[in-house]
Amino acid sequence: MGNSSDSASDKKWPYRKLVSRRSLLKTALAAGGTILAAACAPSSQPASKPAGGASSSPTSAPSNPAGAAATSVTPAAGTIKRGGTIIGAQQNNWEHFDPHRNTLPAYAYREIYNSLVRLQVQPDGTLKATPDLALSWELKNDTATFKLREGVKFHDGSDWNAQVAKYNIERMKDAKSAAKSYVASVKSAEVVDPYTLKLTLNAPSGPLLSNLSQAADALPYMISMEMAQKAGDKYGTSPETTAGTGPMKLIEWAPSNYHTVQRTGSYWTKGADGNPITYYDSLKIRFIADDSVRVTELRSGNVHLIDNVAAKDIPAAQQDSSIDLVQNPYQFSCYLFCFSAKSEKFKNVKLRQAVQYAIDREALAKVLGQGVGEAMYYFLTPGYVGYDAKLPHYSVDLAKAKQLVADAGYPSGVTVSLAVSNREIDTKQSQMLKQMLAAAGITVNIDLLDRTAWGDKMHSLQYEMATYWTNVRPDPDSIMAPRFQTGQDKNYSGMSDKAMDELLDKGRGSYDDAVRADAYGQVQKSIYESAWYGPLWYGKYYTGYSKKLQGRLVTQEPQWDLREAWLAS
Amino acid sequence: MIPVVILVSMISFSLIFLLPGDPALAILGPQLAQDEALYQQTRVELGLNRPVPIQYMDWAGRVVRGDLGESTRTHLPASGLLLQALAPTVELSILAILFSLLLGIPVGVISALKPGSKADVIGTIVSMLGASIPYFWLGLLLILTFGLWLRWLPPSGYVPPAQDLIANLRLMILPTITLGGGIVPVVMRQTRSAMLEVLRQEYVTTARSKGLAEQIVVRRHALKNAMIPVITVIGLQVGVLMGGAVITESVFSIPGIGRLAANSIFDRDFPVLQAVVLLMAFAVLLANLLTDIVYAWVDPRIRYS
Repeated sequence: MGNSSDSASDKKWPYRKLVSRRSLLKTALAAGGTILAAACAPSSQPASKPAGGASSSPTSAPSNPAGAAATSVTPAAGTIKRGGTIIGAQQNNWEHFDPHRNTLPAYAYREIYNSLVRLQVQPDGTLKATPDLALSWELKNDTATFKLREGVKFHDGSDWNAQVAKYNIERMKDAKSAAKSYVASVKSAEVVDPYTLKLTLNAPSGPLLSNLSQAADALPYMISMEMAQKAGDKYGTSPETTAGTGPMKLIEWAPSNYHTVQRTGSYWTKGADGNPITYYDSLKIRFIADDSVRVTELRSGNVHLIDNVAAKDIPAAQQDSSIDLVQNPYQFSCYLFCFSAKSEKFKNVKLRQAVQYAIDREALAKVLGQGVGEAMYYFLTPGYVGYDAKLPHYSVDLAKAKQLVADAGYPSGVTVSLAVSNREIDTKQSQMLKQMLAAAGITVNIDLLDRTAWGDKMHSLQYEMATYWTNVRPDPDSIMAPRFQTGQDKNYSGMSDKAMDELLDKGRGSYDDAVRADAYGQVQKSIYESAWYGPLWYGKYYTGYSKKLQGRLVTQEPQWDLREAWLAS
Repeated sequence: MIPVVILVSMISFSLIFLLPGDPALAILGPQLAQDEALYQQTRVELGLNRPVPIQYMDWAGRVVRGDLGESTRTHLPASGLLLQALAPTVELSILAILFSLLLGIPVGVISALKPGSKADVIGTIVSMLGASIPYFWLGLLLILTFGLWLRWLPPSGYVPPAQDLIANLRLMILPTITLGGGIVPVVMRQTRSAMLEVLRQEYVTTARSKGLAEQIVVRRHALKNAMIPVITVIGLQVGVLMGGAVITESVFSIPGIGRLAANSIFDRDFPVLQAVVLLMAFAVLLANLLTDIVYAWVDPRIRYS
């Protein structure tokens, strides 16, 4: 504006004196207007338009796992394009990058880390443990011996070997670990030679391999021993304190905003073009909590993939030809309920059964699932060992429910409380349950609590009836044992049944699927009879992809697998 | 001001302890919390085993020395998290206030000049609508309209202005309208009523009788005097802004103080939550102080001795 060296203009130059109110206001208004005008103008790099037009119908994986492989895109050499940044958005905020101690995993874990084995979806739709940092293994009674991959280095330059593997297993068992339950069957780890690790188990463990795979809630990844010892509790709190063996390393973390991983270029798996994966240069994951905003970002082309597309957003997303909605055939958002063993009323099995008969699961699935819900009658879903649609289950029968309420000693009805976590879907569900149970003579008082307070009640059994939700775990043992076995952490009802405990031990202690399926069948029959727990409905789990993102792989877990992905132009 | 900060910090510190839910349990999760020794050890580490007044004194002592503690979830220092989150929120708040002034004052003046006219009625209706629309709904509507249908602006996210100013401003437009949209009606209604009041004053009649142009009468004589109550109202809106920022930042994925507050409440991350509450209280008090200073600046008749 002015030229301060121009002494001739000093007299006219108004800013020599204190800035006047009027002139400041004028300047501020002008500046504000300019900034707004500049910001409103279209950017020189507009938000990328949808790839468009390839197909107007959404891609949806078949609901049966057997057909799962159909959604996997096998890259044909020559069509693959290297380079670019894939941008994803995840629903939940992540705490840090220490896999053993997180409760909510960051979605770049797969790219940063490897586990001993990888639970992989096979062409026939079954799940199988395949080599990752372990090349082969032998499971024999109560020992498991792993031959490890040689010549692997962590991102901090340190070596991967049996000593590091032993350290990791022990770290997963230590006091601060969240992975404890997955290595509970491991008594001790031992270095046989630099690339052979021997695990001594408490008893034979059928779910051992899936529990050591990436599918186990993204917990049993192998981290750099050198880095972990150096950083202590600060491990995983910055790119400088995070080191895995994966194809990408963490380079940036803006807490509650985004994190970025970058290709190392020195991974053992080679792509179709003979060079190490990944095909893309970097992956940026943004934290976008709002379901609708996540879908909008995908549809507007700002992100290439999003997790957990909410049921309410699916119809609009299906209309958009620039994106694919892919159903994960192994993952469901399951909604269930249970009774507290400390509740005097629900100590009576007849009242528990009355509730089970009063619930119309089809109606819940229809209303709450908004087109992607299914009634849930069993604790296992198709594709898992032990699932059997011939097992007994509860379906709605109001006459029976009323009779059972009366038989339980409440001929003129009973009032119970229902503890509910204050989430939109749980709240709606509780209102529907209230109506359904009222028809059977059970008056429900809804106790709406925030997540932590609800968790406290569940843990201390200070409730009568409660609803909860869960995702599907990699093995029937990890689905059922934490709920139904005496004293387990997620046994929200506090039930204790010796025969049930033995059956769960039997299922866990065998490497034979037939033996395991039989044991888990009996477990389900027993839980049906005791009625402490009840399934309600499940929502199918959808991931949203931009059509530009090719080479996606089907996973058992909700996280993406982008090892073979590339960005089409 | 300092006694008020101390009082607010004491009350907020105590209120946090009234929240249902145990932070030790929230940190460990139900599985680890079963280990009674570890559970008790965590409570000791967090200092939860001591009486609340002692905990407060200890916390206040550390705060005075500039140590706000460490996040129990991420192990990052609370002061660092707070500083990182401060910039987006300050920027958003300033833009929202600017937006409300740029829109609210002119509309208020026009309404006051011609009360009962079409412009007045439309202004009143629009401002009432603005006051009644919840932040999250307006935010989503703007995201859908400008982010998806028209594709003029990116739907959500945050880029620091130092990194890319244009990208930053493009991302800030929709949150600014969302957050500022709630204040526009307040500014507009206040301007309107203050202007109506001032325009009836004798000195305005005198100015008009001197033959001054209407524009000058309105701008120099009336509007300036009508600004005092408007400034008061804006000063009071800082608390509202902080509340609105929690929702707006969540909808637009802005890593600001509001989202930090929401996350730390859900995670029972007390050190961070306490730091956030203290900062918010301080911001409101600072805004009140600034309001008082601006009074004297706008109206030379006001002097503090």
